[in-house]
Amino acid sequence: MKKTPYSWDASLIVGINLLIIIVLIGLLAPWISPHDPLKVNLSNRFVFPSWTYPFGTDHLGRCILSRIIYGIRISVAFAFLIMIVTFIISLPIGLITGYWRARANHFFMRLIDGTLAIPDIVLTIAIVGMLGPGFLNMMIAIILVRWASYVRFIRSLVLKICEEDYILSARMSGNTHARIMRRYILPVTFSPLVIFGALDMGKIVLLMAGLSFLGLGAQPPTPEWGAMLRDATAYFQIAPHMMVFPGVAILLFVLACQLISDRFKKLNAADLKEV
Amino acid sequence: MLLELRNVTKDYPLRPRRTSLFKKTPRFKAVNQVDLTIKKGEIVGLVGESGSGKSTLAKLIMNIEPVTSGKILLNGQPVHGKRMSDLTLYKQMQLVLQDSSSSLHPNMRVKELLEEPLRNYLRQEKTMREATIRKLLKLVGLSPPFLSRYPHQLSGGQKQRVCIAKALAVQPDIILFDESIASLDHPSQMEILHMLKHIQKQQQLSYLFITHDLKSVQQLCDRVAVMYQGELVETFSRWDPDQLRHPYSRLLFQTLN
Repeated sequence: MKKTPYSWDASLIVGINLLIIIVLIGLLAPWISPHDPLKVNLSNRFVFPSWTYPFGTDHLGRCILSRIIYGIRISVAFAFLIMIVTFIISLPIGLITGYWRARANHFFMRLIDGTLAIPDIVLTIAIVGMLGPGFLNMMIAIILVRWASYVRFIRSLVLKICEEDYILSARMSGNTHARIMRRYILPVTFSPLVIFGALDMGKIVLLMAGLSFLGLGAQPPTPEWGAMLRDATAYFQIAPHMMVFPGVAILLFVLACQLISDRFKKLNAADLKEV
Repeated sequence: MLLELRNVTKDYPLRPRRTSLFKKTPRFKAVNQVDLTIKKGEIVGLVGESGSGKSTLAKLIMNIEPVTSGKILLNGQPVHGKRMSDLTLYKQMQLVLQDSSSSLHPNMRVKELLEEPLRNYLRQEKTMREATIRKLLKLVGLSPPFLSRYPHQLSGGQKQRVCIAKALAVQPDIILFDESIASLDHPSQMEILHMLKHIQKQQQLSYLFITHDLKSVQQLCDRVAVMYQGELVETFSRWDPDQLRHPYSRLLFQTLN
């Protein structure tokens, strides 16, 4: 491949390293975390950060550091799962509606416009409200809300690729439509989709935290970042550390996703210019 | 008759939406009442200035766009009819596009690109395919090491040769060249013209060679059709400036000297 004018730079390195560190900590949670994240110790409530409890303890005397570490497993793993399921749903729809610009397409596009017109968090709350609070319902709601923007993004990519001469050329070589989609269009969409996915991971984590904060997502005692923030609100004045650390955790993860996707966006723009 | 165009007309609306219910939207005639026939084994050149409707005509012939009126027959079958699927059309007729770099998929090696038509149309087996690909490559003047290269590792002329090999692999009756060699430098243009002439003699193919460069037409074509503002104003086969009727073709001839 040609060398791109953008080489590795600070923000990409920081972003990737941050993400790797976060994921590693999550994977190694049982070995790293100093305490059991679910163990209640009422004699140790609201302990400020110390050597035994680096991030302090919460209103039930649970170690906040351990809870944040185990929270990685929940937030990151489920955000990833949600993203994959959304891709599985929206990739074929986006491909097909982008490739065949038939009239039936308008139906899908208006449905998507309708979904996109309502802010994410409002629609998710409405859906969770109907399904009832809970982790699984929250995941379903997020998928139902996020798929539209995925389809729209994939469709716009496919529309652009279909204008390329090599698609016509592929058809002239006798390829079936299914093969053109699989062999010619999918590989080209791959790298923009990775960027989109990375950016969206951050958004999903934020959305999950937001819903859990409102009590619609993860239920106690699950160590989820948003749920931890909610627990902290009641004791904010006497134990501010309860709120600060989960907040910083969310911030760092979203930051890592943003840094990576931002960098890739620029890389991709450079690629496109060269072609 | 291999390819027959009867009164082919194509117009586009000038404004995308009509402003009034009762007024007709003005339409622009890109191709106007074109009659043209190409016999088997004949090379026809189609010349004209930019915007004269040459490329639109190529798109109509390839059924990439529908005609407004008129008929295009390939081996007696209407190209735009329901019975002609695009794959059966492409089996008989191939188009080599102007921009060779964008008509080859960036992530596929030359070998994969050439294998596709053989597998899809001719259903050849693997060993047979290998042999055919090598033959094709030799025909267009490339050596076997090119097989493992990606399009961005090839020069413009080499890419265009790969495109021509890809069209030849289908074993069509006729190949359309839409300004295919216009972006190349003069020596490579000459080489490709020689090669095309050689291949045509060998395989009794027909070409429709669309270009704005009369010199290359003079080298290659048996007959020349001149297009001017969407109309086919003249066809001639003898290179005699005194016999030309239309002022535009005379003007074209002057550029030759």
